[in-house]
Amino acid sequence: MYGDPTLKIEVKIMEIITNRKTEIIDITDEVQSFVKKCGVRNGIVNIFVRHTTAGIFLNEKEDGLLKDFMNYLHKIVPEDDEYYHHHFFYKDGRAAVNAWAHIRSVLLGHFLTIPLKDGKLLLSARQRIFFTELDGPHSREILIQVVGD
Amino acid sequence: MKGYIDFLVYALGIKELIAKVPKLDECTREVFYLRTSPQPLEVLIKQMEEANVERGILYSINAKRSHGCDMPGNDLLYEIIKKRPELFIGVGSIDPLEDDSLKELEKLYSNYEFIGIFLSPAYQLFDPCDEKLSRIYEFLEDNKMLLVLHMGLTWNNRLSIKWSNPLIVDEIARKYNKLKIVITHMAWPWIDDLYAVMFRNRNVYAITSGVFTGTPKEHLRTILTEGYRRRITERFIADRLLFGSEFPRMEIWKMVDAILSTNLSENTKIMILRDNAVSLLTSLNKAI
Repeated sequence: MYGDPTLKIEVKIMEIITNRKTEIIDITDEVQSFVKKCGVRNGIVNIFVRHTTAGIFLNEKEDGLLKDFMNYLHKIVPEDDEYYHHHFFYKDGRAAVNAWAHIRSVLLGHFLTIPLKDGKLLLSARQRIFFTELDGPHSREILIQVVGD
Repeated sequence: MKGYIDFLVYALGIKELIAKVPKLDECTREVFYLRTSPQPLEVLIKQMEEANVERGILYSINAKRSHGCDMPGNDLLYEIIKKRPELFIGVGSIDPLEDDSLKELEKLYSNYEFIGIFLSPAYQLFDPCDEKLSRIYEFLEDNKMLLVLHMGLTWNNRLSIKWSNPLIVDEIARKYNKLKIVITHMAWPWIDDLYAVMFRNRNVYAITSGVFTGTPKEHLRTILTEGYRRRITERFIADRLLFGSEFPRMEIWKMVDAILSTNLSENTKIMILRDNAVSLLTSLNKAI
């Protein structure tokens, strides 16, 4: 509760330079490490991706499954399709050519909230946090906010 | 597989350079007309790796007289190239109407070993056929340096495009017939005019950069392969087309994928993506 002197709110902006056009990156350890550094024991962690062509999700870390996720995203939102977005974008001063990346990012979502107990993320044994690059390589920012006491 | 060569990469939108010269950000937004977020140099390098590009030809644009902007300027360009000489080759820029332009050109040739200069009538506001430029063209021709001319559409309507039609290059190419002239963006939308100039002048080359009519795949398919253009690409000018991404205005891998996705012959694709650039650079005594 705001005004509660025991409530702490800590924020970190995590910066990543991605390597590939599309890429799934496990950021679980970085999030847990920030939680530990904050000293917050109980509360929640919000993880927010500050981009429109990247996403975030929770799932199992298994190489085949991660390839399946990406393949499925490509299948349901193909690059070679007709998109109204693909025209000269005066706001950016360049051609907009990545509607597929925007749509895929909407399907994945941009934030996660994870409960925190005794200084640990309450993830299941198989759950990991995955940042997803959808139009890289690019410099990206992920906001991690820890709220609790 | 040997890597490709990207013949048009602007040294703009790079965080490290903006940190040194903050005004560069405003120049990039208002004059170069690119409003996306600046990225670290590492992003450019990763873009090259992802696209299998082994060399990038990096450009500067001198728009000091016309707009008070040097983007990023020859000295900063040289700093980047010095950091990664195995990746980057420089094309500098001068203001051809300034009195000391020849002196600056000599510096680019002797001290920086740039392979040529980039001149843009649109950004720099000059007539390429102005007699004052003769001494520049003579120096370039005598010293085997490239003249890269920015031609075709510029979206920023604060800039004039009255000297952006490639027909204007014919006079220069004929007069200085040993000077290698490279025209950017296939001079779109004046591609038929570009053909005329290339047919008449074997010393004229063109970069496949620019995305004007859709996505990179749609645009390059249209300008390289639709209708009679495929015949011209394959039979007439295949040995003088150079791949260029125009990064940071377009991601490099998207432009490479676009070339690879056309129905051009495999031989022509590799000529555009690598072999023509190697031949041209070799002719300038720049070994790859």
